[in-house]
Amino acid sequence: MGRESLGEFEQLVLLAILRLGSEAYGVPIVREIEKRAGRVTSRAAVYIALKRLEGKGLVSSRMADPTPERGGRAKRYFKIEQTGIDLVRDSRRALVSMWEDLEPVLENK
Amino acid sequence: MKPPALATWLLCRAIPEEDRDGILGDLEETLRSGMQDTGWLAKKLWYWKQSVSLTARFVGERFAFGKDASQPGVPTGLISRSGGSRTVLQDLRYAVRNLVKSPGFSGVAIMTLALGIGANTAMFSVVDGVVLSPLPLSEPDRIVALCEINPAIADFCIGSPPNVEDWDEQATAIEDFGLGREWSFVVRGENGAEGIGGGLATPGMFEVLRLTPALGRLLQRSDLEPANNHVAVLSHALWQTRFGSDPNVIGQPILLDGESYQVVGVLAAGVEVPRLEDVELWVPLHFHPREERRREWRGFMVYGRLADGATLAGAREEMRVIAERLAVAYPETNDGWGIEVVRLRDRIIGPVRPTLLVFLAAVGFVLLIGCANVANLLLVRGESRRRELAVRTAMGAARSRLVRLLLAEAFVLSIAGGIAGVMLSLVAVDAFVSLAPPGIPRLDEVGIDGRVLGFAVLVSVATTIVFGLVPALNTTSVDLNQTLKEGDHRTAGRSRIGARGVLVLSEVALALILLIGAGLLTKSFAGLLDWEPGFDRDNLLTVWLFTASPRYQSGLEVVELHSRAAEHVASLPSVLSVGKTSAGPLFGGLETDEFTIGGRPEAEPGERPVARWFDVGPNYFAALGLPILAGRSFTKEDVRESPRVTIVNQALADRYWANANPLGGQISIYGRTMTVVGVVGNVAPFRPGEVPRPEIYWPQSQAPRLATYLVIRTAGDPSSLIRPIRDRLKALDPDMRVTGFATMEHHIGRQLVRPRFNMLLVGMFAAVALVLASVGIYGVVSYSVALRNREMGIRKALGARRLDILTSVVGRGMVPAVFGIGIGIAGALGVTRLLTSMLVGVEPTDAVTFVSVPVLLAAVAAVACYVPASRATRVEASVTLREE
Repeated sequence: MGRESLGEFEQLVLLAILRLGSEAYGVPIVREIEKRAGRVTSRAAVYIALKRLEGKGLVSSRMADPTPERGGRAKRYFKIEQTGIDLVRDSRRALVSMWEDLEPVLENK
Repeated sequence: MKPPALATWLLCRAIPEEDRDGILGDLEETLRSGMQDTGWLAKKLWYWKQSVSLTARFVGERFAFGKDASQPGVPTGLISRSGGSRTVLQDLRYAVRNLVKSPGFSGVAIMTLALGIGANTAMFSVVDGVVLSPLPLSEPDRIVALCEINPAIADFCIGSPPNVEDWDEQATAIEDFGLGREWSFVVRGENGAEGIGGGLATPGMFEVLRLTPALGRLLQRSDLEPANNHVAVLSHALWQTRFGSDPNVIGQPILLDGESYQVVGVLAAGVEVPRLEDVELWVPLHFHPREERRREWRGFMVYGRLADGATLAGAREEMRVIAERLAVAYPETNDGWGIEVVRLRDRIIGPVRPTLLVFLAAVGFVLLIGCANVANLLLVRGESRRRELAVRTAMGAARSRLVRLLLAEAFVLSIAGGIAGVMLSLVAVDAFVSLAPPGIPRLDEVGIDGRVLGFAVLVSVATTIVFGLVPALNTTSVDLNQTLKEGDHRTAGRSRIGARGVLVLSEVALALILLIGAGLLTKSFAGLLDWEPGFDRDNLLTVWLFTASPRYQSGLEVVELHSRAAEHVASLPSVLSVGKTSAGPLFGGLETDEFTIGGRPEAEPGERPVARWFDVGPNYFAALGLPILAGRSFTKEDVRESPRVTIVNQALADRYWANANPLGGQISIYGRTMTVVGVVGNVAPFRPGEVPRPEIYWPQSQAPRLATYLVIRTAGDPSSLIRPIRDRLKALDPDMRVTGFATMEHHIGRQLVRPRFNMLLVGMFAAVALVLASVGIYGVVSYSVALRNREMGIRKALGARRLDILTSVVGRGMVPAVFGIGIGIAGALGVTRLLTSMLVGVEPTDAVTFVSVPVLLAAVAAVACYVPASRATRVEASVTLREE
């Protein structure tokens, strides 16, 4: 089997993590996707996606110290792994190449 | 605002532990700082909406996960945290696969557990059959045994017929009474006279026990009238063997002791009278139970049935009052006698109960030690899987899930061990039943049944928890980072050794308790071997003669016949001398009673002198080899018509004629008064530490009875003389019953059977415990040596001497062993009391045993430490370091 492909939502999550850098944990990831992609995002979907991505080894996570405004619970920070970076690159390349020369076609429709 | 508690609870159930903090924290953070402008209701609704959607997604994810093929290399279901039977099955399947992959480990673990579980199951089936299960009688808890007791005469649980008649009239708490005893009969068979194990009974005995006939009827009250009492009830077995299961047996005659009895009934198959199991044929008492002169004949087992609603305590109180009343009414015979009421079951199993419970405890210890060893194995195995588990954790497996996975392995092991153990116990139960000493009641009821299998399952599950939980918790308490970073550089962390140290400590403590128990039993047994009876034990043969034939008109004629028999035997070559006696050291029934000494004031009840008594022939002391210390022995001149004479033993003379001459003194027993004509040496008690009891002998010619033992002193091996002696006796009178040939060594051997069995069984368990504990120590030290390989290499490279390293390793290994020995000694001091009933002449806290056994165990532990330590230190430093 060749390299895995990513679902669209998984790509959004990975890109949000990349954009957030060292501040990538649940709350900002959801906010980032909502802000940039402009759509209402289900938290549950984000967490499940993160879990799957981690299961596939595309992201890793670490627990930070617990904080009071979180009811004494720790933040779980996510970091994208090299395979994750490779995969988003691949899918961008694929999309860009598919989009090539399509603007005129679309304009004529 | 705070998140709704119920929603949080729901989320905690749904979200795996490793994800929980991150997600719940995110929700709370949003709630507190991201929604300032929202009202509390909206916040609440929002939180609930998130909770429901998260719960649904995570629960759905869990069930979908097994099918997700996107998890390369990770067995399905191992990451998600879940309950439900599906994942339990997955866990078990995974565990089985894992165990099959390492057959060496699994084999050793299963064998250890099979030994422990098998021994426990076997022992439980014995204890269950003998002690726990009810007697096979109707309403067994209402059946009691009654005993007339006299403080002066211990171990007496029998009663006399006239007394029981009075009890029956007066008691209300006990509704039925009955009594019975063994009574052997001579039956004329194809091979001449044959003995038959008969019994005398009152009809009440059958009523109390609610026994039923298979044919005809049982005894009834009218059978007790002397005119009607020649009727007999057959046991089912006798009916089959002697009457060929003849359905028309009722009404047929049977000749017992030359008199004709009529068969009136056959007992149902498998029916036995408890405590009188050997009786094959029942006849009514040959006298009326109201016959007053029999009141002193306390020779019957008495059974009673508690009335509806009556309690044991109530019955005891009532019987106490009745005993007092009878003591006033019949002071001659009943003064000083009380009545004891115990449940029949307790009476039967009472004596063996502590022994069996000790056995059960011993096998329990063996199982615990086995568990500790398997736990140790699992810990070591867990150690090598630490990385694998860390990886699983890193990939999101919850700790609880890993614990469950490891527990599943333990469970599979213990179930396999349980199955092997049950198979082992089938063999072990048979072995126990066939090797067990005589006198353990109800052994024929022992077997593997549903209860026993239930016990085995229980033990297996308990075993899982005992040996599986510690390693599971220990192994999964991983510091992820640390483990993954460590790679293969294993070091002997204190905490990792800790759990194993505790296991070794417990093993050593348990093993020590068992070893001390075995040591005490061995010492006790060795004491019995050294018996010096006061006469020559070698070349001595005994045989029992019994003659009941209408050809002999009186008991005296039978005594004369038996005297002639002794003379006939004495004339055989290589027979040195022959004596007659009613009983002797280690053979024959012991008869004990009160006596009075002429010219001395009457003693209070309970303080009257008590002695064992024997009737003997003139040659008895010479044949046995007991010295006459004063006066004379009996002679042929001591006949019925001559003055009644008696010989007392030294113990009696010392006690009752402390500084005076007993010769010429008067002794009265059973209404007969005799003059002391001699003092004979003591027979030393068989059990060390006991003092010789007072004994009275009188001539058979002055108190005739129909049976006697011959005591035959031979020149060579006595067993070679059995056949010629039997032939000569049969030639003298074919109606004479000649049975029970036995050498004195055989009588001694019979006494040793039970202590030897106790010693061997506990000794065997202790040996297994010692081996298991040594293996445990060996394993832990080997492992810690392996972990410290690098350290030792460095030390060596820096110039440490081999001896230093050796001392350090052995020293560390010995720490848990030494603590275990300390705890074991303390435990043994508390526990060996339970052995008291099994020990003879040895205190349960015997100092020699309590010092020598721990020293032995310490030595074994040191060897178990030394072997792996020395192997490790022999390796060159360069090799060790290069390996690393």
